[in-house]
Amino acid sequence: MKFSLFIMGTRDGSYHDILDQMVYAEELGFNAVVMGERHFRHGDLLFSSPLSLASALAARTERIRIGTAARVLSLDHPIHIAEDAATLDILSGGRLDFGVTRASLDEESHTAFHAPIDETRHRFRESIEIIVRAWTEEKFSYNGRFYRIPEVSVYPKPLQKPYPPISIVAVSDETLAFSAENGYSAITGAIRSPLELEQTAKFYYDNLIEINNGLDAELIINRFIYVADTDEVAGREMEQPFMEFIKYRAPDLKAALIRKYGGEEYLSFDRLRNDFCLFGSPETVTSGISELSGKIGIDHLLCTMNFVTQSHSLCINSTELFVREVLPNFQMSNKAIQL
Amino acid sequence: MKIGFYATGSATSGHMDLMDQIRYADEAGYDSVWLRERHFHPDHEGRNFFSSPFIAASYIASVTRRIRIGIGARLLPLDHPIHVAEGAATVDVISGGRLDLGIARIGENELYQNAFGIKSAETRERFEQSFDVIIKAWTEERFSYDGHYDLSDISVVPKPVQKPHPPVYLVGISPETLRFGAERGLPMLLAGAQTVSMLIKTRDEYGKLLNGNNRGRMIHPVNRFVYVAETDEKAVEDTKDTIMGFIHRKNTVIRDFLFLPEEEITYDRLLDEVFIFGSPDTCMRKIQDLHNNLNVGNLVLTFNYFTIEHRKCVKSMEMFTKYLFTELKAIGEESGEKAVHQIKMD
Repeated sequence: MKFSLFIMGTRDGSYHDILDQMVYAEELGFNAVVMGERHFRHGDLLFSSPLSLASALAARTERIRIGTAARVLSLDHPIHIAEDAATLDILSGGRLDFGVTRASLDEESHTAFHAPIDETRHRFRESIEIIVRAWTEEKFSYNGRFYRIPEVSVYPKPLQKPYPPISIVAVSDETLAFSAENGYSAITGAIRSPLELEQTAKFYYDNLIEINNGLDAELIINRFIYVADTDEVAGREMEQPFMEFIKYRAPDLKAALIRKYGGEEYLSFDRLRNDFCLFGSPETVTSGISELSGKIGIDHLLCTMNFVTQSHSLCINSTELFVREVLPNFQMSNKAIQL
Repeated sequence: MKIGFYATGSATSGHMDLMDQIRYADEAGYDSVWLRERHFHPDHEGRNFFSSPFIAASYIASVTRRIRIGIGARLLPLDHPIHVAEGAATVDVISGGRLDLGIARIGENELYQNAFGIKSAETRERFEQSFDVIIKAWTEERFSYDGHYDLSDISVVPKPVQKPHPPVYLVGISPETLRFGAERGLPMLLAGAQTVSMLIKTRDEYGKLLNGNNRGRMIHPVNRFVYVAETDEKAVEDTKDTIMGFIHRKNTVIRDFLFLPEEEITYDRLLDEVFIFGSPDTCMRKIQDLHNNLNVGNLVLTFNYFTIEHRKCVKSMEMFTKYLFTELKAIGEESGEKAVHQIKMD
């Protein structure tokens, strides 16, 4: 099983603290460090230039894979995105896992970057096609609805061949189907219960088209994780930060949860925790992961262990406890480069 | 005198070769490294560094300790100013405040605008407004902007470490660009491809424009192409084909900077008026001449260019560092003090 670490920043951690934590993740043995993209006042939740931060991480590490979850394709020109990602792939020695998404969590970014939300589905599909062609074709031109590109030879080409693994953040069933039908990995599941994940995994793998490109597509499951000595301590330390996160810092999750549960008044900490979070003692978290890996067959867990509403030191403590007490219970198949 | 290193590619260098050379520059005491923005694989020659200068800069920030990191220059019309502001501020934070941001209106050729879907007629407006948006994004907690870019009450993060903001350098040649730079009080990165007489003319004209805007004196970095070898003859032997290749190359923005009629772009003239070229002794004399004419406070050297093999570029840089570096660094920045010419080869 692969364990990757999703980093969204913490309440009081600077960029340098976060970079230190990412370097530490390599030492702790994670498969990948994965960064999100977010603009404007929400920026401290994630990073406005994730590939720049990733490049700093590439310089400071040697083995750990470096991922995005995700670059928002509709907010930038696909040639810039292809160039940035290829440059990073070279500088990291071929360690890029390129996660992409259709739209940002907030309308504000789409307004500022002149990319209306209702156009993003179409832009996304054109963009992903252009990026792959820019990476793999010596010369190409493109004539789409949003992008018209005369014949160009985009430079540099990525180091990984045929190109870095692409995964798509799939919140909707439509995007999940698109990922599977085009042979891309998918990242999903932060607020899906184990039962729902079982259906999600079945749907994804049933529809997965194998593209003969040497890249093994997989379903990557995101989980909110917090480990403390006991379930009771974990609950006490996470209740306020987690509820603040859901209510004020993650508008997309909140909206999805309200749709799912039928109203904001039903979003109690105990219920959310019970349904889709792994907050507890090492034993509790271990048994939660065993359920995902055993019965459902999940092979790649994207562990969200930093919360922008939680102190940096508590997030680090939880991560250390997770590595020391939980990970040894699983057979690791991390892809970090062997030196 | 400050000494910088303009890290362009040459025939056989990859990204990691350049990174090694930049680490060397940091350790050897160079004051700055500059990265340019170039897109698309040229079908004529050499490597095209860098299509993503901020990504490279973040890496450089993490493998160097003290060298300043200049972007010479981001092509503002091709990207959204918010992306530029965010990317630059991220580099500034990661590097602990070592970013210098150069800005330019156009790149090598029209293909850039066409590929990024930008109308060439809009580049002036985009360039000027983009600069203003970037400064607001860096310095104002929240702001709105009404123009080509339509922004309403946004708060851009992260903010740069340098206050009020990272230094911005102008890279350009057209009268409109110079007028804009002077209005905003920007120092100028004087282009490597200009003849010495053009450099003086540009510096003087820009100085007048700056004075007209009540801007104080500032140090304008001067970029020069350099090649150092054991003897003048060896330098010619190593690079003649490459430089002749440049002379025959058409349609490049570098030629625009030369301001020479086609028939006057000759090998001898380029060596004499554009390059710093030859043995350490000869190079030192040429830099002294340049300094006497321009009072150079910040000399930014291009060692890698065109179709020269990477190992030759590295050797030339090492010779420069060994024989000229210390003496040049000792020259007073403002005093116009003359360098003592005394170079001995091993």
